[in-house]
Amino acid sequence: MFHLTEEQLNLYMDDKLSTSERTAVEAHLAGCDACRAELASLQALFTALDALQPAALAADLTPVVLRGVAAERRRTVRRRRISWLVPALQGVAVVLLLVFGWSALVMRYSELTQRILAEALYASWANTLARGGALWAATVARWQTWWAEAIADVLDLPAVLGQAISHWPQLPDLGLTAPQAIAVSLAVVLMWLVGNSILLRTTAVRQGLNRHLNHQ
Amino acid sequence: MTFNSGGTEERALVARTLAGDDDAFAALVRIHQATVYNIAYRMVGQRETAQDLAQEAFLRAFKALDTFDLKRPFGPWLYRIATNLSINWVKRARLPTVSLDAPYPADGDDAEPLAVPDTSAEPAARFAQAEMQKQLRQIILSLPPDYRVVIELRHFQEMSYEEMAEALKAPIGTVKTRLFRARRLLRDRLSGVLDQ
Repeated sequence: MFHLTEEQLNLYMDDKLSTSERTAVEAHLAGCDACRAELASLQALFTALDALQPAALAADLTPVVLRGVAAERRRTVRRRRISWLVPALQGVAVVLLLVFGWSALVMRYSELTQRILAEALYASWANTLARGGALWAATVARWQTWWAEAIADVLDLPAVLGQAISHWPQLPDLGLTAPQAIAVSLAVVLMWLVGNSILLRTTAVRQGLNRHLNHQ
Repeated sequence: MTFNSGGTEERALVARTLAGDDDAFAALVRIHQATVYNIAYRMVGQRETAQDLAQEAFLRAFKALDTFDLKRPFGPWLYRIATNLSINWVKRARLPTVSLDAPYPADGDDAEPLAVPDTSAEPAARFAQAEMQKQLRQIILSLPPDYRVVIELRHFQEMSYEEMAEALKAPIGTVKTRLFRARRLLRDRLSGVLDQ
């Protein structure tokens, strides 16, 4: 004689069987002492678990939890302040780079760049073909010099910045007046700050949600 | 066991908390603290640890409150946080499985006070009942953590198979297998107690 499986008995107790399955199980139980005993054992377990009384809580948790809540609110305020401080410092750095670095580089290399471009643009095809390799070699040599000087300047950045400051506010190479250059720089920084803070906030929310889901 | 699954009033308390009202969160703590504590207590078997875990569950809930769906009841969401904290604590602590011969509770406390003292029976019957409860708790604690948690979710938080699978991030088949095996272990270990 076959017997009901452990799964059938559990599903029966959890009321997860279809009507036909339930009818079949009950029909079997009616004629099987062993399965009735198994079911009775399972029912006794359910009864015992249902009867388990909740334990009394020794102390009210509210004061401790509220202290933690107050601390968390303070941390949140600090995090918000810091979250603005970092982009603000980044913004200052960008302004310095844009104003001094850009003007220094443009002033130093604009003349050379213009000469190279002028040769390339205005030389006729015939001249270009005729001069061919010579022009190419000269161009490469000039760019090599350009890169060598650029690398040297990066290594000697304070001197370059000093030179840039000494030339301030001469920014004719940009085709902008000093106020215009500052306005453009501020606009770029503002866009970066706004975009950055939105991205940071979105990331924080996502991380918080992930943390929360991980606890689920 | 009955759970306060919350309603409109609790959702209003959550909304007020989000708006900065700590009294509203205090009200939520008072409503749910006994249940949260009991979840942790059944899972870890130590009163002080259970109390710490209950406090931590409320704080975690507070920190994650902006992710809570206000259309859903607050209680089950909070209980899931408490359950996960407790199961993680049990797994991290790697406590040796509680021996059925060990005194209960495991932290050495003596008689276990009930939330509602049973005065309906004779002293002898009450003593027998209390002993039975102690042994049942001990037997639940003797289960491996993965089995303990399914008993907690199914029998005490009255979750469906689907809800358990979602809470544990496990397939329904796995959840059912664990539940049925946990019940089998409980029945085997409880049979001597129930026969007394």
